Amino acid sequence: MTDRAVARWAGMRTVVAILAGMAVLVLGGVWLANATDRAHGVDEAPKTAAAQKSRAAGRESQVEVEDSDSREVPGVRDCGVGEPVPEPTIITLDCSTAGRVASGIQWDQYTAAGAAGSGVVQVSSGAAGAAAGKSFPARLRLFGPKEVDGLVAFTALEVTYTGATPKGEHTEVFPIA
Amino acid sequence: MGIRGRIALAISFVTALAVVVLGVAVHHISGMERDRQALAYQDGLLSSALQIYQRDGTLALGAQLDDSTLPFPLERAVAKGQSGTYISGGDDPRVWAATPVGDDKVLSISASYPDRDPLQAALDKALVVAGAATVALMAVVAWFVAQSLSRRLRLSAAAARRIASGEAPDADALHAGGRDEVAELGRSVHHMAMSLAARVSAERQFTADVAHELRTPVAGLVASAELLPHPRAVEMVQERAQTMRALVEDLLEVSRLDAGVESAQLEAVELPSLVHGIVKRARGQRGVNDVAVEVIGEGRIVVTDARRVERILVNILANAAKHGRPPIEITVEGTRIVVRDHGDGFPPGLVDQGPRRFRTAAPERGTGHGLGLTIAVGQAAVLGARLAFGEARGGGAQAVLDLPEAEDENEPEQAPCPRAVTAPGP
Repeated sequence: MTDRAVARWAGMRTVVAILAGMAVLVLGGVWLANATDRAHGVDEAPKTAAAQKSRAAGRESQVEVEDSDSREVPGVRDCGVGEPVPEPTIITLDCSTAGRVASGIQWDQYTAAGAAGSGVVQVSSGAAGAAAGKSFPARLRLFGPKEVDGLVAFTALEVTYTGATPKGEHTEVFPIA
Repeated sequence: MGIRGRIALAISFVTALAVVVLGVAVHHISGMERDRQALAYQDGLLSSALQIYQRDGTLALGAQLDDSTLPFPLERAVAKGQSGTYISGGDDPRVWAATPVGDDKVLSISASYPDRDPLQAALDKALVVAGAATVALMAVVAWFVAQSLSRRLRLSAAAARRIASGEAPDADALHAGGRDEVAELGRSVHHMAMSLAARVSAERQFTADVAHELRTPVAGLVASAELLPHPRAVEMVQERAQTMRALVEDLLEVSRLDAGVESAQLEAVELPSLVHGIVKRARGQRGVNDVAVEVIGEGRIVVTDARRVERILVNILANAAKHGRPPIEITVEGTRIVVRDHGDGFPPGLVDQGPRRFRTAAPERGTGHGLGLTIAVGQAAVLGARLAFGEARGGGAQAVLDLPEAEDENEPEQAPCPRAVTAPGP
């Protein structure tokens, strides 16, 4: 009889252990689900904040740069608006929809004849036919400097994607200015 | 459920637990990574859109100014002058990024962010399939691992069972190599069987030696008692000496039965007349009287050892006369002989475990030495018969002797050639 009592007790313990394991799993699942919801709070936007900061800091210096440099090297008139900006960090590619932008451009060389650098082409999620939600690293080349409204500006931009392409074309040439 | 199934189940359960925990963690981490990437991407888009807006005042990359559907938490964060990203729930989940652009204007950008991402769904499916496959594989592996353990335990148990049923300890079955617990259990059972066998053998030897050594002085005692002068003393000494001689004879018989050297001399006899003859000879002996014999059905001819059947029946009758109450009834039906009395019945221990040496039902000594039923059981084993003790309907002890059916009962004429049957060990 004692044997049987021990066996029954052991069986009870096994059942309790299984139930405890299940409970831990279920509670863990609920907690994880809640944690996923909690993650949907407002997060930081480090790049945007950096852009804000650089804008605030560069507001004064921008004028000086334009004063000193713009006469010697051609600039880029983004979508033909405003004054040509030398060594721009951002250039709009599709001016009609503004759905494609080359951003974060770093220029390796920037001369009066042409410029070459690298950046990232961003595609708006609304842009038709484009694979949304991705960034496309690319080599950028500016050429065709021309005098526009009394200032020299590049008139063409060649984008060569180094990785995936948004529309399947490896190299695209955009008229700018 | 066997140990095999239990081990397989336990391992499968633990594996399933680990797989579920791992799967949930991977699902969760991949979900978080997806969120993080979506937020970072919107942040990148917004930073570009912000630069273009600040330079040209145009809205690029699908950015919106003062979007009315901007989620409230993000609106509040932006009102404090911070840039932020946010994933909104609801029917149309969207991933948002927003930043203030002066004059209480808010530049925001958003993209649809479905809950069910096909990539995530594919990952979940892969996790479920891989998890199920892992659990199934582990169950099979555990089954086979447990199989060998279970097989060795079964072998040990079978060897132990064989020892229990009277075979000599099998060293190979239990002494199997290995240094784990199963091998140790086998070795322990083997040692136990060996030591028990040695002790039983020593006890048998002791019984045989004692009986043998007592026989000669008791015989001398019986003979010399007749030379005593006083008639009453002669009577008393003779009676005690006869009792002692009977005991010694019984002891010798027990030891021979124990040793398994007895063999039955088989011949065809007609059972009812054999029983009648036995009862006639037994009447008056050992206090046996008032015995009724009833034969049901046709009298059968059985091939058996008449002398041993007589030993069995006389011992049962003597026991019934000593401990039960008359009338004693013998019923012969086919090859079955039933002896019943009208006393208080056998003690419960005897019915359950069979007779034990020197255990008598009578509390006082001297009414019997408790070897009669032991001898009856031993002789029945020699005959290949079955002797069972039980309670008769309506009270009283009942002993049932089932003689084996003769193999060639249809041709009793060919039976007379005596055959020897070696007794199985007790």
